Amino acid sequence: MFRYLVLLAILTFSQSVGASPVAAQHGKIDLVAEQGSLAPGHSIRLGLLFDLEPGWHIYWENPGDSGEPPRVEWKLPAGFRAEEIEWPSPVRLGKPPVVNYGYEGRALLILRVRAPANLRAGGEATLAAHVKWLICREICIPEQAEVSLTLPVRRGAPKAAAGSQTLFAEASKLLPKPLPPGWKAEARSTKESFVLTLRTGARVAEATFFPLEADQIENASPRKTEALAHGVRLTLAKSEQLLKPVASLRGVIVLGPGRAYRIVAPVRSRK
Amino acid sequence: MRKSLVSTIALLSAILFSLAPAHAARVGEKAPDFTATDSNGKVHKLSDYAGKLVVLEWHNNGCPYTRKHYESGNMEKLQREWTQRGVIWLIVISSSPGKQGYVTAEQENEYLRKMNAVPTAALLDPAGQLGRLYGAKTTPQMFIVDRSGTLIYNGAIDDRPTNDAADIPGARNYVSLALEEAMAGKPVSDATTRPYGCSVKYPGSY
Repeated sequence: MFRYLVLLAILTFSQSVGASPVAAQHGKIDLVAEQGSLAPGHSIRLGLLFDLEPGWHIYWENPGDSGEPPRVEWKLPAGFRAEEIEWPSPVRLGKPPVVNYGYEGRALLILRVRAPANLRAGGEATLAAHVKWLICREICIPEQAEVSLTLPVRRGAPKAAAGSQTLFAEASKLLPKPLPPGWKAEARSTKESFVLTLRTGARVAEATFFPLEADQIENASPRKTEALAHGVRLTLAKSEQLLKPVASLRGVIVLGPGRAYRIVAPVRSRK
Repeated sequence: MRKSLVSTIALLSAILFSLAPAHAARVGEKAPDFTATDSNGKVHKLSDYAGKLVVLEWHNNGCPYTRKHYESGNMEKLQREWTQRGVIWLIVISSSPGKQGYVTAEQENEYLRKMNAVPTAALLDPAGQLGRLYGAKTTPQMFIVDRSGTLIYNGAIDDRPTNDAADIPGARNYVSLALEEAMAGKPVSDATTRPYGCSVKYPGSY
């Protein structure tokens, strides 16, 4: 059964552009592209696709109380530029006193790569990366792999490749979005906590906040969530490592599947 | 006889720990006192070291971040340097039985010999009581208690949160800097930093 699932996974991968997964301990990694070609002066979306064995996880850009996010060292042809990873919204992992933020199962870390304007059409280019990551279940294992992808260079804006479309479309749903117009996030600082309020115009029952800064809130502390008539209010315990007053809480707030938003909530001090 | 003495002490320390404050040890406050048994069966009480600087090093010999500092010789070097300068250096192992890093007393002594490690002692904390008392989250995680019993450092060993030994040479070692400052009677500049590494393998942890 398991072998069949693996085979199925390989078949699924082989439909995406790039598809040559590298086996590592407790998971596989691959470099895939949303578009089937490169073009001078245009960018395409690449994805580092992690496919992890059940129970194993990797980390978000803020890993929480332990762990480390994947790191990428790009090996690109002259003139190519890789942007930063757009991190999908993570899940809470572990249990107090050690709580982490990361991914289980399948995770696609998307980023843009731009080809130089003077790239000559007609040939092909190889995009490669040396990726280091930490994979953990009860124990942690440092892993690394070389992944690469060769694409033809053509004129005109690159088009999404049929085999990659679903993969990237599904993964894009997990990318935090900017707050919709009219929504507002703000916070106030009390002695022990930050009280974060998100106004959306409607009642919100569930919300999880993932902090981008490591030393602001205590990851493992219980969080109080209060539904408001026009939004939601979260009470987040301050981190023991918080040393300076905080100007804003930066992070991702998740209200449900496909509803993850980036927020920068200015912090007011009040007793 | 010796065994019953040890278990009595274990019970007493369990009672002591149960009175621990709800929040973890905080820099600037009195370091929580504790009693713990080392890998040679010797009992250590923090308050017995009043007048000395004490380093607590949370440890898990299988953790890639701990291995970074041991297999490179970095941790052993720090232990050697600072114990020679009069510092008490206590390794604390809070991995619970069956989890990574859990060791018997004999296994720990064998490990210390093999690594040429020279802490003052290695405290065995399989129930995780000492770990929870201090709020230790990662291995390694470092704490420093000053001569008056105040916690003066809680955090990472250095400023390179990776498991790559190549990052050690250029790193800012917070522990050495804090100990130098404490020895010179100065306040510690980086007194709280973010610890990095593996999660401490407490009972029921993940």
